[in-house]
Amino acid sequence: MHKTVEEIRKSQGKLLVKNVKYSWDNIPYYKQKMKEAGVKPEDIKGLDDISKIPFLSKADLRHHYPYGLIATPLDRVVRFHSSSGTTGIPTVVPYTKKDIENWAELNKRCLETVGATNKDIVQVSYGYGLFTGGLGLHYGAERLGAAVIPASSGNTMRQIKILKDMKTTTLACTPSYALMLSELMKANDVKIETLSLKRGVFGAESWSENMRKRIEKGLGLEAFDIYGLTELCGPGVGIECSEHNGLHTWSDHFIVETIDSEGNKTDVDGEGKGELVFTTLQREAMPVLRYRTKDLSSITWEECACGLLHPRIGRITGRSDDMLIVRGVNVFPSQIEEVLMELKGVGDHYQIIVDRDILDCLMVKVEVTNEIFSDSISELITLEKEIKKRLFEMLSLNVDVELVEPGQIPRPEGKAKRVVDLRKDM
Amino acid sequence: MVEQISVFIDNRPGRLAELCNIIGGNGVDIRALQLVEAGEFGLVRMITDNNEKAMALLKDAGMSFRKGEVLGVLMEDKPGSLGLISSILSDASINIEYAYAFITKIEKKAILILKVNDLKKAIEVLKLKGVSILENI
Repeated sequence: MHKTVEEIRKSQGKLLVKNVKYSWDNIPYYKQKMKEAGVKPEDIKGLDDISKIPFLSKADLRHHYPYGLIATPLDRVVRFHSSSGTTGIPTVVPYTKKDIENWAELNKRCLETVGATNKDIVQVSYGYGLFTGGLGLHYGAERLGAAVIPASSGNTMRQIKILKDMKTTTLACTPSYALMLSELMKANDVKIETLSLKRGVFGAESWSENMRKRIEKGLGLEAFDIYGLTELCGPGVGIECSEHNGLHTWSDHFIVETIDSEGNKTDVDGEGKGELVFTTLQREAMPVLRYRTKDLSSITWEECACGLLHPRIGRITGRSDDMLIVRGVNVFPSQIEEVLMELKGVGDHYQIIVDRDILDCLMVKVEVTNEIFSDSISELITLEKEIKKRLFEMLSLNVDVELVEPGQIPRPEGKAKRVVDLRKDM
Repeated sequence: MVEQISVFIDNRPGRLAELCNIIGGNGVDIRALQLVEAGEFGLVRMITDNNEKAMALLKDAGMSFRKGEVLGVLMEDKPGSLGLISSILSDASINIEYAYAFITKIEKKAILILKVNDLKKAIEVLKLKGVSILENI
């Protein structure tokens, strides 16, 4: 017998009460924030009281870089991961031994949900390292008992050889990398019949139904969306089931809410639309209370045909801030502006263009003002290279830099449109 | 020494025509012109009969430009002339950054525009070898 939704939500409430007390006792900043909001742990008696808890933002995490929000002594921390930094400060996330085990368990569940078993061969082509993608799926697949191939990202021809020779059944990577693999296979006349792929678990970027169709056709597999955030653990927060109608989020580990742009709760009895807000229920090293993801989506507890009772979130439809995700890297336009502003005469008129050929590409157009214009071609090329180099240092991303004439960047209502994202219909 | 205007332009069809219309369409004569491309952008270097007006027109059009001084040399329009001038400069260890040449209305004469790394010294050595240096073209 499945537990009823009410029972699940009641047990979420119990975990919440415990977690609020734990955070109050162990993280001085949480205590201070709650005090300022006039809330004490005793005020949180169940799930209905969650809206009394103040929000946590990415800025809060940044201000406490690197160790400020750790609830346990450092000697209980066994791992750190980190997300790419905004304005140079990364978000560092600590894990205890139990956090790592829980994280592995969540990813194991995700793999089970998409039909993988201990008989599968899982090729993890997410990057390994500070980025959570690689190790997250790796630990999950190992816990499942599957055979893991830690291919990491890059060296695409070798990846295809592994897919073919080692008869990989399950591929985990970003959707754009999956597309790139399929394009390269086509270009090298590798037939999908020579592969043994059954399914792919793709995340860390937003993608559309069209892209799903292209990947499924190009690699001969069923594609599943996986959701996660470094701040919450990494991948494994949510997974699509075979219904492909939203991503189940694990209710014993996370409470998901939606809010509007003013921060008012928009979900009633768990159903709602708006910015996703997550509360972790079992994390030890860094519990997170009401973390604002800035991801826009919806939630529902409606019964799913797959039988899982965990609530679903819809496809991420956008962001409530201006953050761009390019090849899995978080990019804020302000970071690019900061780099440009360091160079005299460069930052006044620029435009950021994001497109997706196979992989995402980021281009920055810079208007050449009289101030930076030089009669020497080599000086202009040097300037182009210098901007490219500095952007790479800031973002760890290759950015195409293009020098353009003044006035070439459209200025509707006198104000330049700084960011153009052409990936919307991909 | 000759005044030259360099203009930054996008490398796309029609852009040179638009630039020339801005200048020529307002009665300024382009006496010499060089177009260089570098990928997505290009550079136009030109010498006009009214540089002040040309610059005012470019400014109105919102373009990025710069006025600079280059070396204008009057040479014989015959084989070997350009080689001779280049040799004089190289013998004096002067580097030519760019150059463009065109024939003139003066019979059997051509004009060479040079951008060198040491303008003063270049004038000195060329004059010494009897090469005529132009003040305008």
